[in-house]
Amino acid sequence: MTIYPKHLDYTEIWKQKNYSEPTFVFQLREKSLQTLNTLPFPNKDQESWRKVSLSNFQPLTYLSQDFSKLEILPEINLKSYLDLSETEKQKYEEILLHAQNKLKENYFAQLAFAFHSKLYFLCLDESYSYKNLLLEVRCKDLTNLPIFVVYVKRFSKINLVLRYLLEETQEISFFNSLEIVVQEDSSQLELVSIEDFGNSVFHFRNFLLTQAQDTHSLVSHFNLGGYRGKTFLHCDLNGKGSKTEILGASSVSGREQQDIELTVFHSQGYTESNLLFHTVATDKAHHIFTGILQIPKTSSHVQANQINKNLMLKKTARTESMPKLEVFADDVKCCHGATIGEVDEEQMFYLLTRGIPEKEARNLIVDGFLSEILDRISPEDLREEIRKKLLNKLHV
Amino acid sequence: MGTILEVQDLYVKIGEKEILKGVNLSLPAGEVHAIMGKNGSGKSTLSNVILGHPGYTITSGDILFKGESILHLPPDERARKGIFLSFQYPTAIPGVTVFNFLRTILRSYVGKEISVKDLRLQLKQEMETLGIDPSFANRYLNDGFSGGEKKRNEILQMSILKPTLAILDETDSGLDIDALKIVCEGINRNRRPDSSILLITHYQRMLNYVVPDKVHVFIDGKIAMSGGKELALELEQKGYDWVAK
Repeated sequence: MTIYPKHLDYTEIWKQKNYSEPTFVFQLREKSLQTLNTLPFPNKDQESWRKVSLSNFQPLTYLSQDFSKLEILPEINLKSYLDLSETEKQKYEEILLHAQNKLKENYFAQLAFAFHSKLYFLCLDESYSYKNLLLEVRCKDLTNLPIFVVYVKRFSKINLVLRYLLEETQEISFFNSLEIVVQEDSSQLELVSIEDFGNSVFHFRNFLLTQAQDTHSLVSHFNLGGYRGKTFLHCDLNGKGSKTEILGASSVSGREQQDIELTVFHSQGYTESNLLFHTVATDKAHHIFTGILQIPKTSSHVQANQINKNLMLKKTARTESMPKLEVFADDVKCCHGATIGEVDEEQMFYLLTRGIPEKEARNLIVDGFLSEILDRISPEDLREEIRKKLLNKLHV
Repeated sequence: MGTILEVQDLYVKIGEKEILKGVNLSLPAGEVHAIMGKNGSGKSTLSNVILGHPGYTITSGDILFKGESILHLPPDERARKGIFLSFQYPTAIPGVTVFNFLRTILRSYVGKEISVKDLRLQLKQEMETLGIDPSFANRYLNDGFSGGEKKRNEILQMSILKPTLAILDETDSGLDIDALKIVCEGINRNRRPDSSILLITHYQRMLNYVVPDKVHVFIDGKIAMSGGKELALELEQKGYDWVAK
């Protein structure tokens, strides 16, 4: 077991990389390197890392390797920094700098900024409807640090699936992504995010969504595996009339440990957020959900709902739900609820009285529990695929 | 065809509290029997126990279905033998649509997969007669249903499964007069010479539409009086305390 000092110094390894890139990208890296060197390595003294053990995680070892073999299918609409027009550069640089500052205390976001394998920009037109956009990111290296920037222009409507694939390998691999999504006025976004990791993956993710006036987003998140890790979803409702629905489902089994932290910041009044997250845990797995709702004093007429339900199939499994409501405004409607429990006996009895055998009845209840989330995402074939994978993990 | 249900000197408790205190009941094929009684007299306990609810302990007595004891059978096996319970408060199962649920229970009953097309056709007819909107099939089971919708859904299941013994636990509660008529017509369509219905209710009004062959009055965990359909009218006029005296 490696015991890390409070701070890790990444300077040497960063120099070895000998980055030769456009000035903006280089400076972006350099700034995050400096931030990173001042940030304490995630440890149990920090609120966000109280539950995740990183004692056997060695970032310097992973970063010393070559990591460039990232395959994205298809590459339609994707650009690298060098492909951007001058106008695009100006906008995207602004987006990146804003995100870098917003996530300045987030260790793994800064790690991605400093050492990212590549910056990918999804360039989409204004007032255009994009249906069934699929970005499938196939990670081939032991270390993977992509950054995606998605800029949804005014009056656009986008339906995007972002799927990360990292198969199980003999060695433990490392995945650390950052997605920055910006929605301009009156745009709509439906994003399905899938983490399809093998059981040998240390995985960390930061997803930052910023919404302007009269925007609507439906973001669904599915974790289908991994060894250990944490996903941070940040949503900033930064324009009046903006609304987000955030959905998620996880199933954890074996000795897996998953941790998700979701923050909704109502930085403007007249905004609405609805959050619904379901987890099923079995074996000796451990799942942690943290839902942070922030409404500053200046944001009035806000509606915010947060529900987290956890279903435990075995007494040896653990799920934790931590709602954190920081509400300082007066004129708001907020509700939150969290449940943790085993399969409901009355539901079981009802199904048994209809002749359904016990095992099948239990499976039907679990399937229904996950379907409450899955039924709300629009790609039907994807819905079924995710359902199968989530259920397979539970031996259902 | 003989007797469908025979309850013999049944004693049941929940925790340390005795609920049923020596119930005897015989329900012949082709008949409808009504059980009436006050709140808390043990009527719903009897229906749950017949289906094998794990929360109750049978301390003595027996329950025979078509001449065979079913006490050793788990609830799903009792159901597959042809016993159906229409719940007083059907539980919601979010995420499971009515259609998928019906398909699953039919598969369990019949033992083979029912095609989506065949089930849709069968459902269409049954739902029409029960005055149920077709979109109902896509809703989650009992989730956000009104009291009337829940009861219609129970009768819909009964119509599809065609059980040998149907126990209807306060199916009339929560129904307005029009809905009650429709539901009762649905129940009457399920009356057959080879099957029986045990109807549990507080009020006589349901018995105007589903006319019973016998009425039993439940008081303090056992049947205190039995009679013909006219007994229900007498109870309506005199109340239950009259029987206790």
